[in-house]
Amino acid sequence: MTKTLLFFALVTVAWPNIVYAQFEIQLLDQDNKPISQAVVSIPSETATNPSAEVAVMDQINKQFVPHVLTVNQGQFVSFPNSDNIRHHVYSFSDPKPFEIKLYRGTPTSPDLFDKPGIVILGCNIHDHMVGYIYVSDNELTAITDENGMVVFDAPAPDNVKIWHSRLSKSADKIISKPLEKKNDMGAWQVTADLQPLIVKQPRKFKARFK
Amino acid sequence: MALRTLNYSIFKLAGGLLSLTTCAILIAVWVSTTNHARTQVAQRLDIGQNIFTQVLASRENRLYNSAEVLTADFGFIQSVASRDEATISSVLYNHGERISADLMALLKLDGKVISSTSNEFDGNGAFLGKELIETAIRDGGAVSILEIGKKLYQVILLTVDAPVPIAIAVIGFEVNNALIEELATITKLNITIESRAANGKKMAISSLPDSELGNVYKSVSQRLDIPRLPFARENRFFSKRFLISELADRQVWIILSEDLNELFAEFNLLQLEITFITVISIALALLMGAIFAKNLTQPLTDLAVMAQRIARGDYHEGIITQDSTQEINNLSVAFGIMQENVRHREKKIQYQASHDLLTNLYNRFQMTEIIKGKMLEKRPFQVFGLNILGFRGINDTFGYHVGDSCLQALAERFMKLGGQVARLSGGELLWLPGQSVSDAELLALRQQLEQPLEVEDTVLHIRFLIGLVRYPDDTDDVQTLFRRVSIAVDHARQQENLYQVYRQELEESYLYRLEVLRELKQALSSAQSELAIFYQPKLSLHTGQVSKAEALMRWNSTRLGFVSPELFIPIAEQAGFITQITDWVIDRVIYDSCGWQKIGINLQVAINISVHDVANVDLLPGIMRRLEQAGLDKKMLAFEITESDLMKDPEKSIEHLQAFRANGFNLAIDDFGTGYSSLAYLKNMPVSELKIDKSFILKLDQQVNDQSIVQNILALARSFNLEVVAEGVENENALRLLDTWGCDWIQGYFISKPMAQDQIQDWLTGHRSAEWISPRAKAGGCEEYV
Repeated sequence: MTKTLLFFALVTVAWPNIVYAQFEIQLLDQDNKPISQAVVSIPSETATNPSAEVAVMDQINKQFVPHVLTVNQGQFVSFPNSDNIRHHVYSFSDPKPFEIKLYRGTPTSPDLFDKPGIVILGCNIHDHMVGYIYVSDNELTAITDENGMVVFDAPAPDNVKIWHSRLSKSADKIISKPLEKKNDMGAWQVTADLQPLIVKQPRKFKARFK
Repeated sequence: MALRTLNYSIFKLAGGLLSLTTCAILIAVWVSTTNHARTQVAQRLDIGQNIFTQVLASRENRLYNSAEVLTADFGFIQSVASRDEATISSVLYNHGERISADLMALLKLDGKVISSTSNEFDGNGAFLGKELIETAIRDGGAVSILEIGKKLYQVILLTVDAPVPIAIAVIGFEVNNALIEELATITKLNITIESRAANGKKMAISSLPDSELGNVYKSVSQRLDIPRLPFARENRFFSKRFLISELADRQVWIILSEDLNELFAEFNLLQLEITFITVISIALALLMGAIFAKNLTQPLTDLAVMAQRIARGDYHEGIITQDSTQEINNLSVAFGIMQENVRHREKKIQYQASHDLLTNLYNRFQMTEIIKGKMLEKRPFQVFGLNILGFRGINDTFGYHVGDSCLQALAERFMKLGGQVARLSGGELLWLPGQSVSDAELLALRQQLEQPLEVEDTVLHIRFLIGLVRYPDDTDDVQTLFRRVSIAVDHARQQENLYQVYRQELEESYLYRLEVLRELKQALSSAQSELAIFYQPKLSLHTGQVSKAEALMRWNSTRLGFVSPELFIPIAEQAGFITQITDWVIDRVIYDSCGWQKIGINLQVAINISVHDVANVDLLPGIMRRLEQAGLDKKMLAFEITESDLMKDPEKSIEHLQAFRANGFNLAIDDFGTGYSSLAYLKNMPVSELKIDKSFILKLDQQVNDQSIVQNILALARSFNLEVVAEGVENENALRLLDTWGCDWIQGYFISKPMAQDQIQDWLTGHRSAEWISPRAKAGGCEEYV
């Protein structure tokens, strides 16, 4: 309860800024198609404090939900299993290598993500399950919607940081892009090159011999 | 074209046909097997390719699956994620062992080598190529065949996903000879894997020894040639090449090769078998053909021998007629019949060749042979030549069938005489008596032979001219004998008993006549200087002048000396060229007369002609033409013809002479008194003169008989109103007598001998005023005839 109140207070304090400083960014790929599920971040003094709230990375229908989760540095993340099967959640990413071996329901305790960076989640028994946790470091973050759009209630900086799983082969690359151009709707338009989509299947390349 | 034996022909036919057939079969088998082989090769290569790709695909699947299991292993991923190189290295080794990989490596996503079990891998993974790594990341995996460290590997690249790719695992399986051998065993083909780098470097692994690789590469671009010779070492392989892996800098080809020698071995065996069967068949066929041909040709050869024997004239052996072949048998029978017929015909021909077909007597040819044979016996014998007198007349009068019947009847009579008789020609027969015949016996035989013959109601009285020649007294040569028989028979004509035994002189005279004939012909055709005309003046007793002359021919041959016209004129008549002589004389006389006319001498010249001349229808027109050409009056020519000549055929002579008379020529009967003139004919003779034969005049002054004959002739002439010329007056007494009796003309030595043309003028001049009868002068005798 105290945490909720605190959060409310913070929002209230920041409100005048929102009124006067709000901007939109649309993220497009090399083919001018909107990039969804990308994390756009801008530096922020106000966001340095870790959130007291425990973030949730659920597993529903053998998918990590949400697909991309943003947390502040030092925030706890809980990995409840909403499926009626077991999962074996792991990550070998540098910010937070961990492993929650086969389990059902909610693990006993949430994990602390105290290093900024990208944590790529996988399930050892469901290879196709991929999830990402973006651990921000004094930043305001937003995740692009299906139109590639994000809205920040802040004055627009010169540069924004962008992460998306297909920005690099290793999926952990964060790039910085300048805000230079606006589209007709008044949103900043940022373009990023995406790697080809990998759809992991048991056998997805053609046999050479038929 | 050279002749070939039937043997050879049959041999050739059988052998040739079979050879052709079998060669055709051989070629057909060869072509079809080769075609079949080619199809088979192509099929096997296609099948081989399928099997090969299937096998390789299944192996790849197997390898891929085991590799995938490895890279999905959480422990493996964990160790990779740990970035502990020592751990990673051991994991690679350990997992490589698990799946029996020959090569294991771990790469970063940018291709840098994290760890490897091979020393050949350099730091940046360039050996794999960027393309392959990109493909592996994009697709989660890739498969290729690569050359690494002089070895070929089937390489599988798989991403290590945690769960996004964090590294690439490279797992290689060596493509070695064992694999190739295994594939070769499965496909039953020779397999060569050829790796070609972009820089042209090649490497190959093959189930074949390296020495054959050249042939394999060569065979890739070659078509399968159909006319492939058995066991050819060249072009041993037929190959199919296909690509199994292609990267920017490297291609990997598979060459499947069929060893044609193995494939063709069975076909070659088949071909060999057929060839062998062919050779045996041909040999058998030739053998059978030879036997067949021999069986066929042996009787033919026998028949040929028989035919040659028949050709030699030997008809007496039989013809062998036992043969199983109907045709040959027929031929033999035909040969037999032919032999019989030839024998029969030859006999007939021989008879005909040696006999006279009309009389069945021998002919001249056969008689010649018989005489030759007798001559060889060296015993004396007689040959009689017998000519039927007037045989031609019999033919002319009664017809040839009567002549033939006559000959046949006479032949029968001759055959009864014994000995040998031949008919030479016409009515000429030759008889060789079996034994010597004396003259008396001959007379008896002649009577027997000359008995009247009755042929077709005609009774013929036959007379023979008989000549005898004796061997060896008269001749010992057949041809001479025939000639002498002929001479003797000719002379028999002049004998009273129509019989002449050959004597040496007969032939001499015969030969002399021949020579005369030859010389005369030559004299006529050459310069003619040997021949000359002499003129004997005729004195007119009425005028005492010489106004006529007789042209007499003189021949002074350089070889024969002086030849009397009495000798050569009959010969010329017989030889049928009296016309030429007459022509010559007429020409000469006209020429001489013209010469005299120019110098004022007018003599009527009498020319002697014969009945042959008179009968020549060309003579009179010829004379008239020549007289006209010479411009000479026809009164200057007269003609004399002997009485005996005239009386041979008086009616015709009268007819011909009338033409002369009608043209105004004076005609005289010469040698009158010797020719048995019929007064009836004499009455009609168109003549103007009679010339009393000199035999009555020569001794007129001494022979009273002659005087009376001459007086009678003179009287006869006067009654027919003919002038009379006395020839052969040699003395004045005869002249005086003839003058007294009223003879018109005198000719003889008392007046003058015959003279050459150029002597006439002088003689006439010298005797212009001669008193031929000295005591009395004739009235009007001084009239000159110039």
